[in-house]
Amino acid sequence: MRILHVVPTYVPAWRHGGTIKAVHGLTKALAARGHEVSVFTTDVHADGTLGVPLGEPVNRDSVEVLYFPVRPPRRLYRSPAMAEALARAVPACDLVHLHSVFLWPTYAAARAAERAGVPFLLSPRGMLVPDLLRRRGRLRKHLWLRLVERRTLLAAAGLHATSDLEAAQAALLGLYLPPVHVVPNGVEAEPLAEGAQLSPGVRSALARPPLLLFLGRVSWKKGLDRLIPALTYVREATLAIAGNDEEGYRPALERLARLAGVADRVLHLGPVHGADKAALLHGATALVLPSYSENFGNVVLEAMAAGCPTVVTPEVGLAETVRETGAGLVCDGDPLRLGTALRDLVADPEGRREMGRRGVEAAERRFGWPAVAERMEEVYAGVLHARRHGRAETRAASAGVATP
Amino acid sequence: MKALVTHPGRQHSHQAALGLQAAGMLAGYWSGVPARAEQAGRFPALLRRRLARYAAVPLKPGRVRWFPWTPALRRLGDALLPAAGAAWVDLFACRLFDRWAAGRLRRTPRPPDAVIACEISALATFRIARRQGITTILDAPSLHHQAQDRLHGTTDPPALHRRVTRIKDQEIALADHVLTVSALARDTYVEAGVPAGKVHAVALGADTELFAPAGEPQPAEEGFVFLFSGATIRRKGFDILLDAFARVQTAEPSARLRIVGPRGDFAGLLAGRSSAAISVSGPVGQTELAAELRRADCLVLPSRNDSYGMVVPEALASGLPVLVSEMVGAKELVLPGRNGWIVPAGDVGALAERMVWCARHREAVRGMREECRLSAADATWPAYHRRLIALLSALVPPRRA
Repeated sequence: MRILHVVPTYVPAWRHGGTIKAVHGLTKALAARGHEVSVFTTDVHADGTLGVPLGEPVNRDSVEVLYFPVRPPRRLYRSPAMAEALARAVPACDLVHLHSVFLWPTYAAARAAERAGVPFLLSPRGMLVPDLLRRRGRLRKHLWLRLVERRTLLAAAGLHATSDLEAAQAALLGLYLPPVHVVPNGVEAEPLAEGAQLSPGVRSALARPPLLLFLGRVSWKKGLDRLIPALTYVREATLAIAGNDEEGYRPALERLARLAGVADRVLHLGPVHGADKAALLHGATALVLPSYSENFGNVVLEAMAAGCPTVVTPEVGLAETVRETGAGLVCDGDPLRLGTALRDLVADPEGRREMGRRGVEAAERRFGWPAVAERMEEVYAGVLHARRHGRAETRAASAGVATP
Repeated sequence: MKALVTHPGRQHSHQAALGLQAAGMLAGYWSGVPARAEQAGRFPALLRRRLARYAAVPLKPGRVRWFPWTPALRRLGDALLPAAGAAWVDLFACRLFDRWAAGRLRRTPRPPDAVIACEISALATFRIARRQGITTILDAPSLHHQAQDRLHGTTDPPALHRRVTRIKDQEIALADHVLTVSALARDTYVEAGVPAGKVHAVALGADTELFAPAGEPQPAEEGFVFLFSGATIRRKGFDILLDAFARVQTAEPSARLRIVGPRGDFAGLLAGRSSAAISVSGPVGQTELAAELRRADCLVLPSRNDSYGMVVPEALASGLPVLVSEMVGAKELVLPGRNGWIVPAGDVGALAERMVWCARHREAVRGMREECRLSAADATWPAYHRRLIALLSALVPPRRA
């Protein structure tokens, strides 16, 4: 199959979080299964650029990647160069897979696929969540949703959600949705490099067991304002917060920790990668992700793969998996409930070992990239089959949209 | 952020005020029980005596206001009327307090950012607060009324019960946030349909200076002593306790049951069971309770519903293991097998079985002292203050003028 993936940012723009990692894992595994996979993306990396060759193919793990420059307004990732390349490349593909919404590349690629009559699959990557839309840029996002994404959703051959939770959340928006396919993200175990040089912050955190680990963007969405007060119920435990603070949220968290009387037990490590990250995941007592909304939660899989027990709130996409596999606990985010659950977990080394063991097993069996790519391949085949048998046209016609 | 705390009596509201004062966030403390001794000095001896059992609270004089009519009316109702009449007077006294607090709030020149008001005495206060852009926080020391009705019903006259329920529902609707004392209590609000993001739980504390283990364990010749501290009422599972203890006596005749607390609706059950193994004392002050806890081997609290159960952290701080039902909010402090046990509510068999085990394993139970004391280390009033302040600072925006 010739598959084109379109994503606003891509490897090595690691600072943009889990989506990049998920798309990278998927494309790599699809290429390993013998598909012709290419990626169209931009060279945006945080406030700067990646410094990669632009507009020409770069081979990354057997995947052909093309980076394009963006034009203002930069926050939409608008790239006229990408539009031109899409017009040339899309007709030659069997299928186009779009990642994320509310950004220009998705819009442009969807229009190009419509024009060329090539089916496309849309992965909203956690952006089609009513609660999130309510809290953030409500009017702007709703307008964009009604004016732009509505058409994309009508024309898409399928919607890919990474969890049942994400699928259910998207359904709550009250928009027309194409057939929804749930395929989780995959995980690659971060090997623990023996004797690797660790940064001083990570070393000092690991020297203070029991260590509770938060790993991810330091954002209001992650529920750190519940986790820090929860620490008051977990005697002597240290909380390490590792992640990029894009929103300047850290001072508020530090004040909260001071008021809660746990400031001396909260360590802010900043973003961690490579050996530091692996050492934290292998050395922490538990990974905690108390998000208010999280479509999937890649870091939970990474912790499972490293044998680290996980504690998540029901609003995390992987909560059901954590519950099913017994790789950790699903716990209400109220500080008292969360705190007592963590306290009991810290006091139960045997239970933790068992959770870790189950996590490793589940991560490999259900979430190894080869297994995930195989499931995605089935979704692609289904989409193409439906297209060949005309279902997509019928559906689009009944929805009042002219098919190309 | 500045918050005002109002309460028709006291309960743990003075602790909220103390925590706020320490953080420089107290706008005022208006209560039915005077915070400072000199406030009560001008009132009749009858009322002063009733209030004497409350210790003075070190709040700044300028911040505290006292409304004497609520405790005075309650005292009169208790003294002169049958239970049903006294319950009506109690409601009237709470409503009167609410009106008084609402009036003061309306006239106050510098309104606070938030007001924390106790249920049944919050309605008028919240109405004024909302008009002034003040965040309303409902102090809900008990379970949601639906859960209470389900678990044990009420002894109030039906008309009074309907009235109280209606007031509570209106208060919940007017509250921006509801503050409960345990995860158990919080769950009952969420189950009743109150949005989860609006209901919060902050565990209460114990005075760990007053409640501390005895230097040496009591000599063993007396037999194992179970302590029940609380009113002898159906809600506290007093009937379950007596039935279970009867079975314990058959299996372990040396076991003793000590009952400390006010007489309640089930006090009559004791009549048929006069036994040397059961000793009863009326309500006791905190110092005496601490002494009782030091003399006992295990605390038993088999409640049908106890939103928290203050005596649980007090017992743990005293080094006493606790045997509680799963309907006791403070079960959160129990690490089963290490500092106590949790049994199903209303299950006489399960309770008796565990009590017999305790009586037969006195040394094992005594061996839990250190773990008990450690587990209470986080259940202190200073810890409560910090948790409350952290929560409020995250919840309360500045007042919308």
